[in-house]
Amino acid sequence: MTMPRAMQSLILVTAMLSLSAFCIANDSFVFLSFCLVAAAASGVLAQGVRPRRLPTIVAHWIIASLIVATGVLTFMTRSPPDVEQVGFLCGAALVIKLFARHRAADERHVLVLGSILLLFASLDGTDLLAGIPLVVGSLLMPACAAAAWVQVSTERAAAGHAMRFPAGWSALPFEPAAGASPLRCWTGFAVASVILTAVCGVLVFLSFPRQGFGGDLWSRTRSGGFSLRVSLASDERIEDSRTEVMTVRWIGPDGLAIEHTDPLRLRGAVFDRYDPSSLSWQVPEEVEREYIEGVGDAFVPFVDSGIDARSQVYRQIVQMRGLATNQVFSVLAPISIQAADGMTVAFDQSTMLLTSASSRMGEFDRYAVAVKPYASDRDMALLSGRVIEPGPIPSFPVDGVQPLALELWERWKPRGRSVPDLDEATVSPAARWIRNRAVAAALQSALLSGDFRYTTDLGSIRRRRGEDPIVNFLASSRQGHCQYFASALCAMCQSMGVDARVVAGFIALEYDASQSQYIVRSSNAHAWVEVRTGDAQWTAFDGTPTTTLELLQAERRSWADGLRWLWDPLNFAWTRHVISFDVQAQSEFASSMVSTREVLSRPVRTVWGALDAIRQRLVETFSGLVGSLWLASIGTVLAVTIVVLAMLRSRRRYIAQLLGPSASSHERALARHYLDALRAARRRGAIRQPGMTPLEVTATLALRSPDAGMHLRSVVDSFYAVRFGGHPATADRCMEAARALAALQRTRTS
Amino acid sequence: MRRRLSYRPALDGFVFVIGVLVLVMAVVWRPSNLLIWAVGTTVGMIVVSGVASGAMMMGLRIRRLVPRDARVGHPLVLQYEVRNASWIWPAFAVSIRESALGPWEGWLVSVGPGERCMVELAWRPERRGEVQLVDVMAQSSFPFGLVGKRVTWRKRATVIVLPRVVRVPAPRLRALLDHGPAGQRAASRPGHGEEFFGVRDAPEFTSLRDVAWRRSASREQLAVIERASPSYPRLRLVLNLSQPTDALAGRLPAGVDARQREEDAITMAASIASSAIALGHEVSLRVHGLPCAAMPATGGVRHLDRLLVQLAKLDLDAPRTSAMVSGPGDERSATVVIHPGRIDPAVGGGAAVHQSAAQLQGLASRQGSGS
Repeated sequence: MTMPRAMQSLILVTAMLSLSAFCIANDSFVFLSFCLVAAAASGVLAQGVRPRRLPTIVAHWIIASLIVATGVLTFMTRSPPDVEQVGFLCGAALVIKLFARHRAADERHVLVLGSILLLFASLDGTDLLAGIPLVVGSLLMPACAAAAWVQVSTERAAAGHAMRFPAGWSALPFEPAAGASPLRCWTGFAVASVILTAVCGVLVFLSFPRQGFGGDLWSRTRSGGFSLRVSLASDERIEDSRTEVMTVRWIGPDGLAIEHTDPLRLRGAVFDRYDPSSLSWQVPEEVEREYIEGVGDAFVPFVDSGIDARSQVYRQIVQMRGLATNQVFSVLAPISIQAADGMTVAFDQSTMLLTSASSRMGEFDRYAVAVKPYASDRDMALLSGRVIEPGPIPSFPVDGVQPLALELWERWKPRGRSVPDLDEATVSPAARWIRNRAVAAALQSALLSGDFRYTTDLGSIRRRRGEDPIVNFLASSRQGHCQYFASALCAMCQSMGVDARVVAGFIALEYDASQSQYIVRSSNAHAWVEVRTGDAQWTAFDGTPTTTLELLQAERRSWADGLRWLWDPLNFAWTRHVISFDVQAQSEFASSMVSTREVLSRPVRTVWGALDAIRQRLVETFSGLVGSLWLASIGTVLAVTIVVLAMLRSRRRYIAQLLGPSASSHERALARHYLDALRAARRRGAIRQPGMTPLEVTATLALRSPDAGMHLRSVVDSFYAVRFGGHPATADRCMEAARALAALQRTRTS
Repeated sequence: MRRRLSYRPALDGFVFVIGVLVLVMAVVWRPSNLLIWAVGTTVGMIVVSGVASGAMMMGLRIRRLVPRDARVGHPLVLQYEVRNASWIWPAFAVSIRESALGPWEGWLVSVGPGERCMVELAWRPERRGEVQLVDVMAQSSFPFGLVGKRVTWRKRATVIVLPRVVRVPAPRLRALLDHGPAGQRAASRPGHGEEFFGVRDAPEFTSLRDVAWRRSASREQLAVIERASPSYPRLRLVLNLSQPTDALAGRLPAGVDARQREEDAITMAASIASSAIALGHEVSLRVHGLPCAAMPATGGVRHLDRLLVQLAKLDLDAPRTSAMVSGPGDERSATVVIHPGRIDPAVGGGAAVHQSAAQLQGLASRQGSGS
């Protein structure tokens, strides 16, 4: 007995889902394409009508070669294999095994490899695109495992049987039992197992004790291109996904949605210190947060009083679409916020950043922030909450940056007007702010001059061992993405004693005029620089050429953007409710269950009351003689209906029993005509006794009425030709039987 | 009928549980909601395994159809009617075993809810004797092989395994039988033979040829001659098991298994009886040394069955008696005495043919299916 093809196909589908989940979680779409094509080919070649399978020894030899090659490569590079490499190895082995499915044990190997891939996918996958195959695959896995186990144990039993009985003796049947086919039974089991597994999975998911994920989860969550760290250590290609992260409606001071003159820079994180050892920028050490509780339908200001909230106040209405985060993105400088009831937002006065006070991601999925893009020094000072001392002149920890900065400064410094030098800036804050602005503007011009090229692919950049990437960017490669431009600008500013910091967030470039809103995508994740130009004033300088970003944005447009309105909210919901489901969400869920019980009991009581009212009304209506007559009529109709339905059901079951479950519609119609004809014969006196064949009934009827006998014979012959003669049940044959039946029913017997 | 459910841990289940624990540790070490989902699905698999297989096994009902007897070396098919009393869960991959038969098993791929089917357990008996079937066991590791579940029903039954029978070629058998007065004679019952049996009143339409004229004259009533039924050649089989196995072992050459010799002697007796009855002989059986009812000389398949059952029931571990069974001496029978060891001419009389169990291979031309 071989495994039914349906089971093999389901195992193949589950294997493909596992491969998809793993590859999508690791962004390996080329590998995924190869694997899916190979898996589909294996379905045709190894499971086709004439299966051509890879010999097991060859398959195992190839897999062993892959393992050895990976081991050698690992030894040569002296880096231990990571989960991703092991996963790719498992994926390759899985594809090879798909071509060598000879026995049930091979199916089990496929399932084991698929399970490993699903586990690896659950380690790295956060996106809905990876989540769907992961969840579906994990739900199908028990059903597939059960099918494989049945086959394995059947093969074992057959082997034991063959071993105990020498060849030639094994005349005993070793085949499936009669009754419902194993496939049909297994289908029912598979459905039940999927439901049970899903229920258990959900229960465990909801009840598993969590410690709070915090930044660890954030670091692994697909962050829509945005990251809480700016690192130059990796030379991987940066995010260029077209996923809609959010939409931003920009409301001008006059209350109309407008497109701003400059691209909107939505701030999410600020970094002010560079760590040469980790090649990354660090967040400020001193963070002064003020918690604004009870954010509700009305705008809640961050500062109690003093800020002019009437002039030059814009509002940004943000709808998160594909990114669940606890960052609240805002243009500088936010002054008040509006969101759903009961939220608490933390306002960092030193950086003017907003974050959700909750560790749960995606809590702020829709919010409005009132901002003053052109805030005065006074407003900024009020927002900062105190007078900020100028502080010492900053410096940059990498030595090679300052000469390069000075070189560029000499080349791009403003001509015709004097800029305070460093000594003046040291003693006079006003001179310092002027110098800061001038130096930053000059260095920004240098970066925008065309000598530096924007690229998202850092693979071609060569860097000497120990060389700092900022120095490499400024001195030799002169190409990189926005983080390199921002890092270089900030580094040069700091090396020249300018107060500067790197800001990460999104830049809104794409304005949808029909919806009057900006669409912010993953690829719009951006980094720029803010330079201190006043006691509490910070001005944005962006060394990245905006025109290049806009060109890239235009190049990346595709037909799929039209569907993102549907996909991205789903992805957002997935991240918000599944990926970032933490201890707080658990407690909220528990309390919501309690309240749900209350809520559910209310409609039950309502329905019960309504039913009681209906009962009383019926009692009143059907009281008396007329009411009884009505009740009797309704009861009779119901009884007749039930009897008719029961007869129809019994007849349908009899036909199914007669012809088997796989009978075509014509065969069933023919069987109905046959049964109707026998019933018509019975009414005409030709009663079929036990053991009597239909042809004998025909003969009996022919004695009473030759015409009726002839018509009955015609119907019986048609049915027998199909039932026992192997003839097809065609529409013509059915029509012929129907005509004979009609003629039989019209015939009168003597 | 008593039903008992028991669980047997399986290596696969142990590995699976270890895997789940590792998974839980991984979740604790690196919190991830998708990993928690994976843990949930593995827990779901355990629940599915417990619910499905427990419900499946408890829903099974088994009825054993016991065959009358079996024969050494030939497959015996025990049939079981398996009914799935559950209306929800199908049963998969169920093996049916008998506690008395060891690893021999019947196999059931699936039986749907509310259905019944027949399962066959093929067993090849290696020794003759009575087999007491006690427990029927249905066991399965479905759906994932994590834990083996076994339901045991106490259903007692007995199967008699008949001794092995080898075909004795007719010439060799005739060579054995020709040594005694096994010629035809009349039986002591009326029939259609040639011998005179008696005289009785003549019925109507009597042939004149059958009229006993002389007797009719003396009786003054018409009488007819009644012929005797013809009798078949007779064979008297004597199985000499009077010597205990231990004593027999001392007399046999080194390396020869005494118990096997005794079994060979029984096989030889069964083979000669089968072949003789197939040739139309009447065979009687005497067993010296063991309590066994003497079988009178009769022919026919039923007699052969009874004779083989007697041979099958011989318990070689029972204490031996030295007394000879003094059966009715029949001077018109050929007598074959079968000894497990050395031939003892004192047994069976002077005209008896003595055969040793060691001659079994020489007696049979080839192993066959017997008569």
